[in-house]
Amino acid sequence: MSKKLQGNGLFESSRMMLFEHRDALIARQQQPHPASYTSRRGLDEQHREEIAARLGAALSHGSPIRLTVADYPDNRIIEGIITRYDAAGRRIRLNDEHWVRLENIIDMEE
Amino acid sequence: MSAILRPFVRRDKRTVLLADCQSFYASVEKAANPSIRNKPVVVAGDPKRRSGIILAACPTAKAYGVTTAESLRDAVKKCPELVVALPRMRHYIDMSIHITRILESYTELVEPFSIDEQFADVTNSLARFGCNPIELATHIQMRILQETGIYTRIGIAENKILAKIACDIFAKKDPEGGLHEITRDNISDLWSHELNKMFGIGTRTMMHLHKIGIRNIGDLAATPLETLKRKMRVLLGRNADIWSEVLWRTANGIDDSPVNPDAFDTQKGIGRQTTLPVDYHTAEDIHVVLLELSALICERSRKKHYQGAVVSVGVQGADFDKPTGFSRQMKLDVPTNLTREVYAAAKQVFEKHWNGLPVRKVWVQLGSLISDEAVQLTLFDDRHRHLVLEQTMDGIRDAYGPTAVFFGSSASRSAQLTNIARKIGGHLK
Repeated sequence: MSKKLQGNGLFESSRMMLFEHRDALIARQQQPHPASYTSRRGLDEQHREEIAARLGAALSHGSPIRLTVADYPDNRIIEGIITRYDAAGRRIRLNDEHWVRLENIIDMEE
Repeated sequence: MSAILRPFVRRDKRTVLLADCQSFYASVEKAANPSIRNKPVVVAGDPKRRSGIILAACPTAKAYGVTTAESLRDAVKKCPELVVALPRMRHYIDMSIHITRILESYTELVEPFSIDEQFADVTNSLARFGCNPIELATHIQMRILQETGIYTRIGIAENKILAKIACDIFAKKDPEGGLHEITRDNISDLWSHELNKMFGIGTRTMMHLHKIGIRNIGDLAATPLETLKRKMRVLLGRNADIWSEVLWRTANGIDDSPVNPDAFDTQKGIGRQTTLPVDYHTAEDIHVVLLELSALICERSRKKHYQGAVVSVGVQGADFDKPTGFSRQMKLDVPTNLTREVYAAAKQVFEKHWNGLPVRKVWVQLGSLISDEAVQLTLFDDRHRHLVLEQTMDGIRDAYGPTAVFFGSSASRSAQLTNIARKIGGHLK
């Protein structure tokens, strides 16, 4: 099936966006959210490294995980299997449905 | 196992809004300058040149017959007291993002569709705010007006395509509230409208549909999909099936596209475009602009530490009603952020697809981005030397301005670098 008929394809392909507007939106998304910042301040370096190691293991084994993700007004719980890792974007994709920025992950359970 | 989002509850039927800013650029100017609030105001490409075109006209100016995209000369003939404002594209982008923020205070699911249109999925917000879709849309509309001075028209429906149609065909024509909700009970109101009122149908597509006996949106919705595909194949060939299904789904209000708040969370491409002051007729002149755009996007890519593997190029003629030109891309053997490599690809795409007709708008984009940390070495080439040279040029431009150093062709008659540096989307920053 054509990309135009899948997911957000119809709107992705017809969106009229100035390059500069797009850049401004991307820059805004990449700034830490105030709520996320508050939530993540409590993470110490050891906890951060532990999460990174466990994420790496879950990615290589394809095992299901449960993430607590900083959000506003409430943190979100997302469950699934890591299906993609975007090193440049510093994010992971769960079940080919949801992108999660690594910096917003507060906790992880297997 | 499927991904589960909590505490949000999935519902069978969504409520999606499309908020459209009325005469956006002109409204921003009126909001910024109360002394012109009740006057006919336009934002025009270049007021010094009477041939400049109208980018936005406020409703007061439109009442004089002034229309978007006509020449300033013609507009002033219709309305001698017209107030003409210079575009301020950076400010318009800031205002658009301000409206994004307002929408995000109601729902996290907000997706900008253009500088003056944004989708919001408020399914879960309705329960939180304890109101119906029209009440919530009214609140949003009033808040945007209070905070920005900009009047929005809002289409409401169970999906994005119907919300867009509700806004374009009904809410924009509603002199009272500027709101309209399409439901399964009133969707038939849509069907008597002409085809070119529907999202995605331009003059050319409407002519094709007329040829096969489809006169309005209702005809399109009622035509069995397979019949539509078969008839359109005769006119459009192999592309007909996909296009027919898009049109058929739109006319029937079938759409499961999500409102994607992550649509802009990563850089998918880095591009620039420019609108030329006059039509360019020769390949040599257009090559100069392609090189300038390639240099600008490569500079930006280097600063963001990206390199790209796909170069997209497009050109367009001056008459938007009779579109000419193309938009095509090519994949590179090696990802790059070097101007000469991007330019070589852009030139190749242009030479392959340009049909020789006059060009007024040109764009170049570098896509399929990856980190520039891993640089691929190629044999018999000195990419590192070119990278150092371009990084040195970047440093000079950072210190002394965007036109402090440039390629020699930018000193030629057809060069646009100075112009591009002052503009966004072909209009003044």
